[in-house]
Amino acid sequence: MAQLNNKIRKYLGREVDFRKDVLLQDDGDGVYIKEWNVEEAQPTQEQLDALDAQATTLESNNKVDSTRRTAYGSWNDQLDEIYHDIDAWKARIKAVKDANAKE
Amino acid sequence: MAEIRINATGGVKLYDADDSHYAQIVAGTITSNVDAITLGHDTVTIADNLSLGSDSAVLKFGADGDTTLTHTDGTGLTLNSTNKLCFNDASQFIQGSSNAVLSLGATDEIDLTATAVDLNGTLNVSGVATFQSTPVFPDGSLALADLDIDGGTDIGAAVVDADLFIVDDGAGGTNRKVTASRIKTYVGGNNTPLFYGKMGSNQTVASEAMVKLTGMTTNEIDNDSVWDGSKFLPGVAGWYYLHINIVITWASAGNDGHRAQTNWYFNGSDMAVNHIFLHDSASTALMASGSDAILQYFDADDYMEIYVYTENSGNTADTAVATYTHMEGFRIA
Repeated sequence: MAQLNNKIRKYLGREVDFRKDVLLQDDGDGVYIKEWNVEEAQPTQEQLDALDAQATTLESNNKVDSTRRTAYGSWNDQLDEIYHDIDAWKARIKAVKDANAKE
Repeated sequence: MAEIRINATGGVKLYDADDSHYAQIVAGTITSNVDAITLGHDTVTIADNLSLGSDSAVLKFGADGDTTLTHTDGTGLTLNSTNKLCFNDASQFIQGSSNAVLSLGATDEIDLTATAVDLNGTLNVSGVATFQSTPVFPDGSLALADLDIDGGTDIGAAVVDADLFIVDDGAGGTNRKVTASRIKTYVGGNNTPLFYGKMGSNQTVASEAMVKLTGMTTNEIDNDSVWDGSKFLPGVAGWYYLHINIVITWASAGNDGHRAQTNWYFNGSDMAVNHIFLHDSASTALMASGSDAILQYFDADDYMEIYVYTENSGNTADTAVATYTHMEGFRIA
């Protein structure tokens, strides 16, 4: 099951600041919405549950993005790589993407 | 020539030689025309009552009459001068030792036997006063300056919690006993209450949410029952020093840590005293550790909890690591 934060992302269809817009809390019995500070109506539990699959995909793709970023290396190293052999760089990046496909 | 005459009333008169003085017996009453009648015998026995019939009558004792008992009408009898009325022997006596002092003397003891002895003046005790029952003094009548602490016996051991002291309740109030443990609590002795607890097993924490840390009961120190593994409830008002140490790990590459912070929650509310120990959106960290301390005044019913907020690249769950996550605290004042 996806995390509540990602379900809310899918519900709002945009990025959310979870330290200002929507505050989530877990006092030991699970995560709940403590404060809802955006214009849109706060979703019901049913609405959130319905977004579980999309949120799971989001989490999965986020991981893929993160994994790709790690594999890409730092900007400094990539710029140096491009300077020396841009084709080789393009090939390596493609290999990373292929090895870490998104859903 | 002395003679005996019987007069018309049936009385008998005894005249002396020149007929100038007489003693008369009439109906059991002896009278005379002189001031004194002397009975010249070692012992005179009166079968029943003896009456001295005039006011201010004087009963004299001694060959020279130096000891007298004088009657005062409406008052009683007065033993003259500083003479004593002795009992048993001369050492037990009552004496008017001056015109303002009455003395009671006894060799060993003066025993007053009565339900109550009412002394209306001051009491000057030269010897030791020993009470066989608990004395009752008026409240506030024993001056602190009169207590001889120097003369006491040292306790001869360390003061323990059960030892008692005297305290003036509310200053000017009633004196009360107080245990050493109460004094220790008041002055913050031993820095208690205190606690320590380490997380027993890794805790999964949702990212982008304030998550309370729980289960910190391993190697627990909690003699005062103020810690339940997640909440510190000291129950004693005072200033407290609290400390948290935490390690957060992220699962693997692709779940890189971007942010980690602890938030102190006082009485269920975020104190906004946050300790951010990782804040880098480009971070690829797989672990971050933080340590934070706080100084906070607690009322008796106040409590403190610690929450953690994390972010990672995948926006998925993180882990607070048991081995390195612990919380502790103690009273400082």
